[in-house]
Amino acid sequence: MMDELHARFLPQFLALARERMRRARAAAARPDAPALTAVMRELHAIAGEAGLLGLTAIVPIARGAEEQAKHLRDGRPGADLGAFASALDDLGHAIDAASPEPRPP
Amino acid sequence: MGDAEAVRLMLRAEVRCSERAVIASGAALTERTIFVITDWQPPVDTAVSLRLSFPTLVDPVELAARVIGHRAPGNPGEAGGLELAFEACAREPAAALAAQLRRLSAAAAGWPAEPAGDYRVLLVEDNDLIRDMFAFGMRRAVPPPGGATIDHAEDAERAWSKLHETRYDLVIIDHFLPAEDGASLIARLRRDERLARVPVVAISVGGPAARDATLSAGADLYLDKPLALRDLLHTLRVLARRARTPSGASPAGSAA
Repeated sequence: MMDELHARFLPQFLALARERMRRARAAAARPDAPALTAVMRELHAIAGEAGLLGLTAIVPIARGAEEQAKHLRDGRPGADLGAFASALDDLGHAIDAASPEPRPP
Repeated sequence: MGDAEAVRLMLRAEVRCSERAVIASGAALTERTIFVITDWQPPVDTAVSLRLSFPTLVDPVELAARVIGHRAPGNPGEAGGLELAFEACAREPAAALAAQLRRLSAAAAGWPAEPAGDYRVLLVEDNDLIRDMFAFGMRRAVPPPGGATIDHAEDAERAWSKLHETRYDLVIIDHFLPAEDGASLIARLRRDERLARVPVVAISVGGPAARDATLSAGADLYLDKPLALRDLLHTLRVLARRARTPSGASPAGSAA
């Protein structure tokens, strides 16, 4: 049943996750509190959807990026915009790695 | 002991010792051991009291146990927690509980063989893709005839309205909802006389904080999303099938 679910919903997940990443990157470019809250929501959605699809490699990366966004938003010590950007890159790569097809141009 | 395969259902596990009490999820129950998903790390050999239950099916069972090890969290599907071994006096009731859950689980595997009636589930989840995946999984896991009817609510307020319009056999609530979170909705539901006993399964990818919040608020079970669909559907099959049997819930102690 998980195979069926995977086959049916993976393309939809990948398209949506890439759109979410685009929005997250755009919001991260002006990292005020509302923008970072929006980023957190996008990253949390990616983690939840990937989790339900059994894409377990994506979940901790998305959750880690979400935590970094939260730390930035809340101004916690050690919060780092560069590390956050790097976490978004890692997540983008993980999403691409889940795709059976080359990344669309 | 006949160390049979561990039971794959998640249980509500309330663990306490002289120092502390936590509400958590129990997994991999055998006649002698259980794994409890929690961040709490009491020393090995700590004596604990364990209260296990499963919504609508198993009345709470009190068991004496001892910490025999800790497991660090791995991947999201591999939560960290405590390995507990039952004390000698608790092995018999633990074996009875495991046997009962195993029978319920096995019986649900072939279900439904005939129309089972209207088993209604309310899924409170604001993510469209997750709702679609869940509905697809449910159609496969509990196909018609006799399949479950699933309603959706995208936030706590809509869920509250539906809960007062319709009688549900089970409510599944994501913790991270817009405006009011899942734990707050669960707490409200538990304070309402008519809804206080509805079985509630909380789901989230939010890790320990979401688990603690929803279980403390009164959720019967908590499932992390990386495991949720497989385990949740299996749990639903067991709950739905049991809801169709005339005897209803039975105490674990009477099931051996």
